[in-house]
Amino acid sequence: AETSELEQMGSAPLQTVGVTSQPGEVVIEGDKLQMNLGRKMKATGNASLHQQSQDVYGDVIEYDEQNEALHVLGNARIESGGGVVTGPELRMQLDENIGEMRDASFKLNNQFTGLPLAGAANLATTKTFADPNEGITDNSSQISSQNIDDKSTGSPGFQKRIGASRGDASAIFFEGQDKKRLTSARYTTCEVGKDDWYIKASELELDDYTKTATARNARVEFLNTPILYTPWISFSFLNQRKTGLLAPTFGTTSRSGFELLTPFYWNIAPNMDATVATRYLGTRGMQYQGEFRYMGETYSGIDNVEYLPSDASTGDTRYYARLKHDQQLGNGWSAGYNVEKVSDDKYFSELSTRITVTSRVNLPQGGYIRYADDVWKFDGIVQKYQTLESTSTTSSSASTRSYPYERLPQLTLTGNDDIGPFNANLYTQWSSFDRDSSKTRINLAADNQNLFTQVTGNRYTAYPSISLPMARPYGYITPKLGVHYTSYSLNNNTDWRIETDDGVTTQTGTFRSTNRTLPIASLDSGLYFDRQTRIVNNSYTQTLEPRLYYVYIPYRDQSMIPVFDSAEADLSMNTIFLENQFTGGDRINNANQLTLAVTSRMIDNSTGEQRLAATIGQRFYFADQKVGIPGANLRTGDSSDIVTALTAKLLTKWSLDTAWQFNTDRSRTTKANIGARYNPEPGKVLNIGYRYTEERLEQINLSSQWPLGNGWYGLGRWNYSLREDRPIEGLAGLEYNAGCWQARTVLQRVSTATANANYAFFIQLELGGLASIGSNPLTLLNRGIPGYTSTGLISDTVQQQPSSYE
Amino acid sequence: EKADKDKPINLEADAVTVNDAKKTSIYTGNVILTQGTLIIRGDKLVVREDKEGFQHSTTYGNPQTPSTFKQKMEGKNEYMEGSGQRIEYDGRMDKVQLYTKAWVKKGDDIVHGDYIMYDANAEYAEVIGGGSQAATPATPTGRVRAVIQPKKKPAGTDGATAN
Amino acid sequence: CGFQMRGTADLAFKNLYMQGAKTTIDKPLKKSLATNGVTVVQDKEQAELMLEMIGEKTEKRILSLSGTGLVREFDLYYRVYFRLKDPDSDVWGPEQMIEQRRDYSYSDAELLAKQGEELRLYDDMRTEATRELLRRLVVQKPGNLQAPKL
Repeated sequence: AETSELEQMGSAPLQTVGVTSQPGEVVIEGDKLQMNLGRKMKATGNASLHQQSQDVYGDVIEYDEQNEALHVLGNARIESGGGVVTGPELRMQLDENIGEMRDASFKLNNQFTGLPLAGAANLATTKTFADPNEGITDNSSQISSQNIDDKSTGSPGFQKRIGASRGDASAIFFEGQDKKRLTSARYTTCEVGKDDWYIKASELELDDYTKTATARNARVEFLNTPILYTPWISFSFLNQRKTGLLAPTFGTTSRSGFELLTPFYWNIAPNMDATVATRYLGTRGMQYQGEFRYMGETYSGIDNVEYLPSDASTGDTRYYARLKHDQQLGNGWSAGYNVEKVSDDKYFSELSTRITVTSRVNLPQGGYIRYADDVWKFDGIVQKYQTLESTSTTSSSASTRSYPYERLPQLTLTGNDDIGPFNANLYTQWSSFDRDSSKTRINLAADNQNLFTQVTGNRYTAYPSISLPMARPYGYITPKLGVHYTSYSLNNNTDWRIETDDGVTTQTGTFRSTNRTLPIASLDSGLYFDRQTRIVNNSYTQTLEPRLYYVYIPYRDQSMIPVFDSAEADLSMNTIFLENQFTGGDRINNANQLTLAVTSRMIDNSTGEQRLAATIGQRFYFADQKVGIPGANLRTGDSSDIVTALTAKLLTKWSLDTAWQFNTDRSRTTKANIGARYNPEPGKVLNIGYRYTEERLEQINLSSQWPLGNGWYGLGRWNYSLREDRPIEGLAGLEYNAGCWQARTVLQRVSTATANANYAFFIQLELGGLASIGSNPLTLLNRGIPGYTSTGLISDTVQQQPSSYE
Repeated sequence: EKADKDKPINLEADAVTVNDAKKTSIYTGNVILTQGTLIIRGDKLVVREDKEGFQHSTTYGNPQTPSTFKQKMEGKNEYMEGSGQRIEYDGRMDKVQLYTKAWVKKGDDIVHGDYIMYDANAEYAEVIGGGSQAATPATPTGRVRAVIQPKKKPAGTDGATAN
Repeated sequence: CGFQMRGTADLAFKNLYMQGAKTTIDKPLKKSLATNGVTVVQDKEQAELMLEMIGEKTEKRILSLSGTGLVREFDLYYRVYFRLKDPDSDVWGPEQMIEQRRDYSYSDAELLAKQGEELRLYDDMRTEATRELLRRLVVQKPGNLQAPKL
């Protein structure tokens, strides 16, 4: 036995020399090592100690094996997942990661792939409540995409954020794997040597796991002048979550004088947060604002309230409230409500400057319950509106509004399924239309014509149809036949009159409970032709797609049918392939018409991307228009305008979007929209737009963000109405990007719906995407300058080569 | 183990030359020295006896097969082993010194260095790095490198006994 | 002038596996893939091309205001985000986006009617986006997937 052990021992040193590393194993290196075996060790001469994800360096490292105590003396440096901490001396209990380092400085590298934004379970989206007007949102978009509107890409894909922050402290206490507590600390995201701004706090807690920092009695110093004091602030290293106390916002507007908004953010849970803010208005007094947001796997919601106890310049109490909730109930069902209320008509115009807010006239108040599966869709709503009356003195026609009908309720059931080669479609709807008897006005399309009626009642519609889509790669033919049945049961007084603005009655009549049945037949057909072409060195497939669409609907007298939700859509590229030119359910046009159109596309052969698409079309009528909204003049010509559209995405970073419509009878242009955008790289965009619609609008729209060199960017937007010969919206601003901070100043003039123009001045200082101080024009710039990119988001690599940035 | 010192020394080698005047004997060729639980191996071993009768040995290895030693720890069933191009054993002081590309392993812990001094009585070791020319696969920089396994395993391992 | 009737596209792949977010254009996309001779398979192994639908987004923006600050035209956007992959490679291609835009005239007096028009325009954009996505897929050759440079 003796020799075998020797043999085996002899070969031992060459093979395994402790190569495999077990978890919890500690590796110590140095120029010299003194070891009391099993107890203490002392490595000297740029010593280092590595354990799991933690590396410690220093001149001398003493390590007590028994209680895993570590003592580093001289140039101590500890590197762990989140960052690096350096100082003269370090004491650390390795196993529990409890330790202390005096006069230490830290550097946090924050390579972090953010959560996918859309639908993320928690509110991992940047919230910009700092903007006083931000509280009120567009009604259409849901919670996640709405919050991203200040991030121009908006792609719900993964959002990779790279950031680095650093600072120092009189002492850093390590309190567990990811927690560090710093006393009298300084924090900044500027690179070493550039001390433009610091957050100084008596206590700063850093959490590597959630990448958030919390500071107590903190002071923000910008170019060593203190600009903000806050007792408590929490912020994310990566600007991934909303900041704690958002920096106060200040600006001035012509309507309310100087403004100071001081929001306080309460981060209740990963999927729930609340913001309370006080907003001091120079000429009005103190306004209180609150917003509560929540989101779960199957639900999301947002509630806002703004309360101005006594408005100094009007003397009354003014408030705004919004409650919005959407809930998935499972197996196809979902429900929700969206209710907004404001105390007086001029609330938005006087207390806000963002045109998505100042242009609001009808505030939705309603709820819905929906079901959807592959075949059936049910949509039940209860909906009414608070309509803001405008008393703006500029033009009388806008002085009195028309009031949309209330639908209490409206139940819609639609079904669509393939039965063999056929496609069957069913549309049924029951609605009960109601309206306050004092609100009887309906503005008609023709200017200064108003319809007055108190009619209310119920409407039932059923429209089954069947089509036979015969599709082949080279073309398709789709005959369709349907029967459209509608019945009305009206209550109370059903007569109507049409008055001009100055009160002259031009027409009268009465609506009657009646029903209407008419067949609808249509034939849609199209062919696809291709050919290969080459431009410069790219090979394209050019397509030629003629399309022919015939509709036949007999005439039914509908003059006694009330107008609850119908309007005649103006002819455009969107509507030339429609059965019924009227939207809503109260009017079905008589039709014997043929629409011809040809589209040609240039498709990039390698990527399948559509570089250019041009369409020209016209509709030919074989019957005059006999069905109309009361007071509207009916079409008599036998052919429609020629409608054209051209969109192009050129390789030279230009994109074009134009539409032109020409009336053949009067040989006049009825619509001309030209939109061009030049966007060679993020941060450099120019939009040129001219929009003309006969007798409705004629505007010029220029906007641009242009780099002016070494970090400066010019911002501008000019929207001038030629028809009304007055500016609609003007915006001028400058933006400076100093790498770890950005500053923006924007002057804006906007005409408002219910009061005359409002001027606003924004200043914003954004510290490394950390806390944005000053009112936040980002959401405004995103709307004002399509393609705008906040300079904080432009990665500095773009200077060398254009980054793959949409 | 302390008891080793009183055990007889058993030596095997291909050849031996003895020089009584200087009280030294030189063993060459697969030399194996055993004394109780202590085992030393190498290509060449020089044993010298000092005035007080203590034995001092110097073992030489070669880059392919360095000389090695192995000894049972006092009061534990763990072994202490080590290897180096040259191992000097001071019988009186019960001190082992390993030179060039040396390593010493105690239980699961191991330390690499260019010079390792191990005092068995005090259970104290001192290791010095050698710079790049002393690089070995385990320590490419040639500096001292110790790999310590976590001691705080659940009860039952002797390593946890308070010293 | 060189135009011929479009034949069945000579696709470089016959079956495709779809994964990722549920979007409103999944059903029409599968239908139009079928008419072009591509079957959507259920298990990954048979697939010659992998399509991941990352998500879709609708956006409504004010396009033009009247002199008195009333909305005259709205802009509607429908965007769908997707990416492609060869079955045997584990690296997904770059994220691609298809964007459709429509604008329509608006007046507060026709609020209810315009809501109907808005829904119809979103459906119209979904149909067009489906066609454009199909065109992007049809040209792909497994092993050499292409995405438009931005």
